[in-house]
Amino acid sequence: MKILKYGGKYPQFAIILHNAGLIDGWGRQTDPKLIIGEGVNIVYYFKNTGYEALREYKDVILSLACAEMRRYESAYRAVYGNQLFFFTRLDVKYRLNTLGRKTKKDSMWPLGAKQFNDPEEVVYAEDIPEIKHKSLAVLIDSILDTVDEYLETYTTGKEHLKVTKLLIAVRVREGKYI
Amino acid sequence: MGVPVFDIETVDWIIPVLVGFFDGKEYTEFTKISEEHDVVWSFLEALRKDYKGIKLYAHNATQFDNRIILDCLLRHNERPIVKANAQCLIWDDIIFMDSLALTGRGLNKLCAAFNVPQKLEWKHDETKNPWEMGPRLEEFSAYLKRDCMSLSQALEKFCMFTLENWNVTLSTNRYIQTLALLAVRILEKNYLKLEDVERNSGFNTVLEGATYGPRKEVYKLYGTNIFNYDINCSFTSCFDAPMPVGPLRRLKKEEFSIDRGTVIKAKIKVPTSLVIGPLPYRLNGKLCFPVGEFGGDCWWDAVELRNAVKNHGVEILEIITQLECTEVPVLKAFGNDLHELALSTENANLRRLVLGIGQRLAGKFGQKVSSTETKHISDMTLEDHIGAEPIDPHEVYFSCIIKKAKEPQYTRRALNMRIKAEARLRHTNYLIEASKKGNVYLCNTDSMYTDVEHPVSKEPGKLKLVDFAIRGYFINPGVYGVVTPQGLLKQKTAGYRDYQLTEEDFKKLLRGEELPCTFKRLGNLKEILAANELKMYERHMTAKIVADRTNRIRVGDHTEPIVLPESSVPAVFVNAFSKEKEKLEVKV
Repeated sequence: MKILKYGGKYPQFAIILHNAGLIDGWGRQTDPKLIIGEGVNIVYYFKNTGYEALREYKDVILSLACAEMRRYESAYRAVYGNQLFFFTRLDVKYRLNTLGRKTKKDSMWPLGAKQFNDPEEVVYAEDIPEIKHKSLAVLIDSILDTVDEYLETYTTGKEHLKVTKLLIAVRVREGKYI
Repeated sequence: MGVPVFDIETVDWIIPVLVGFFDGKEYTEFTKISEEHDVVWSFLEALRKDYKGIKLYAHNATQFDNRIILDCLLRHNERPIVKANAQCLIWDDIIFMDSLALTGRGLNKLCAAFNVPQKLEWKHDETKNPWEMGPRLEEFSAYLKRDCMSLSQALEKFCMFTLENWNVTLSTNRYIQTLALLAVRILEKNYLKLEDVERNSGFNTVLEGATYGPRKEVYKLYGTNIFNYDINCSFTSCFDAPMPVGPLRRLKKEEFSIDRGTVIKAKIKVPTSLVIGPLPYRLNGKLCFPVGEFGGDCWWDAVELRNAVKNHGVEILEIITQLECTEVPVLKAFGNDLHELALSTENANLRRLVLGIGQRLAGKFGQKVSSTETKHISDMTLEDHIGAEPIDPHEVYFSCIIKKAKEPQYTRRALNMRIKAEARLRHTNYLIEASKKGNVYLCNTDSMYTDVEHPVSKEPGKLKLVDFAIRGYFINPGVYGVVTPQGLLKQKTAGYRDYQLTEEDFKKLLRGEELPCTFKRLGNLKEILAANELKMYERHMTAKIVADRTNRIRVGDHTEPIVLPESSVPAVFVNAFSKEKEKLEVKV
């Protein structure tokens, strides 16, 4: 799978984040060098993205993830059919656990991970309890809600959240019985 | 020929130094000879050369030996197939299995059950590199050899035991061998063909809704002169009850009656005077035993509801739906044989092993349709990839939710529901009876701590005295301590492995103080795969009286049942759990 270069045309959502000073450069596209199968990793490094920025730009981040996947989907779906998969991972440094208590160390919470054929399913789907899937949109909401709950009791808490990295992964998987 | 086994000894849990291997005839030991030498890899290469197709057992391999093997294989760019959360590793036609999953008992207890020479003593913190151990290396080697030989002999005897008593060998499944699977095969071969028991798949939601876990509650946080009773053979003693085996059918409204039916959806009223609620209920996903008016949205096994109505003054306000099927005590013969076998032996370890077989049966009947599995990419279909999560950086292993096209072979939810309901109601009856005569402090599944003396018996389903304590501290169902008349503190602290608490610690916990604890654990399967190496990870825990983990409302030094509906209590359940800041006033 060849990397699709931007050629100076960056996704509009990346431009919004760039202008807001939230990302450190454009998406870095690399070959993940898989042992089996092939793919592309697109990584955006975030800066200055805490609780408030995440709440304000949540939709832009989601749209960016979706747009990057769509870019590859339109180029490769015809070639690979349902062997083409996507997943995404938003790394968030987070010092509150689900009960709203502070943890001792910064913990990295990778949000989102499960792979699907459809980018929309990865980014926006409602909960699918049968396969324990929570889309990136649901996961971001839940992490913001946890901070909100924490703020009901404590005056500080927003500073405990920091977005560090967005990984958008495009993969070609081969099934056992093909 | 004996059962092939292996065992790995390490320094600090992660650096392998000795590997013992018994192929069924001969024992071989692999020793680390230098800092650079990978002793596990030497062992694996020897296996690959001469023992292709072999199936090897190690005790507790899931938690330890298989993780070390997996780590070694990953470091050598080998990608073994992982099954059942590393219970089974398959590499180059060599299968590494866990014998603990198969027997359900620790090695010492397993050896004691079959009169096999026991493990030798060795302090693991004294393990060093072999060249640094000097004369102690011989002792260490002897310890390892005994471990291997004892396991092999014990497994062989276990195999003979099941063959002699039930004409069943350990398992026909090549990769998955568990005690539950063995239990169900014993049942099928000797007592009951499960194809004769209706699956009732169309009523899965109902049956799952009517299946509740065991009761675990704290009633009083501190007490003196306490008896600890257990119910003899709690689960297997319920095998004598009529089991729902036929196809479920809905009853018409005019047929509704508490005296009939298998599962019932009803609105009920539990007297608020009861200090122990007799019926289970899921409130915000938590299992509790409330009092007051509730129901209408949940199902109960009819036997449990009937018991609550007849013995504990529960009133049925309205029956909403009722399902019925044929009920026959199909497990009675199996239960009787298990008890006979267990009671015929003086060997307590063998008795527990036999009863363990029966206990695992209920769980197997309730097996779920979907499960999470770690799969190797070469073992995955395109369909498996949908919703799978890559674990390691090379994306070779995936965490997959396996939704089976049809229900697992042995799933019979109605049987699981009935066994659990019977066990719970018998436990409840003992608790309520004791609470009327005196104090009950804590209960957990089939045990209770009370200051009321009860008659004891060896009979299945009756109480046996486990212990007597002069003082007891009950923090939550998983954390408590009792002081014996000899002044010895016995603690039950789930999760606090090797973390010895003092009586003073328990007093602190009662006063509302926290007790933090840090310990190191070997990385789990996901962590090994993700990091591509074996490491010790620090885990943190804090013991304290946590309101949001209890299923009763704490008031001073005792607890009270939750009263429903929530609006009838000033501090609603949720608030009581998350915002209760009332300090404990316990005089210790």
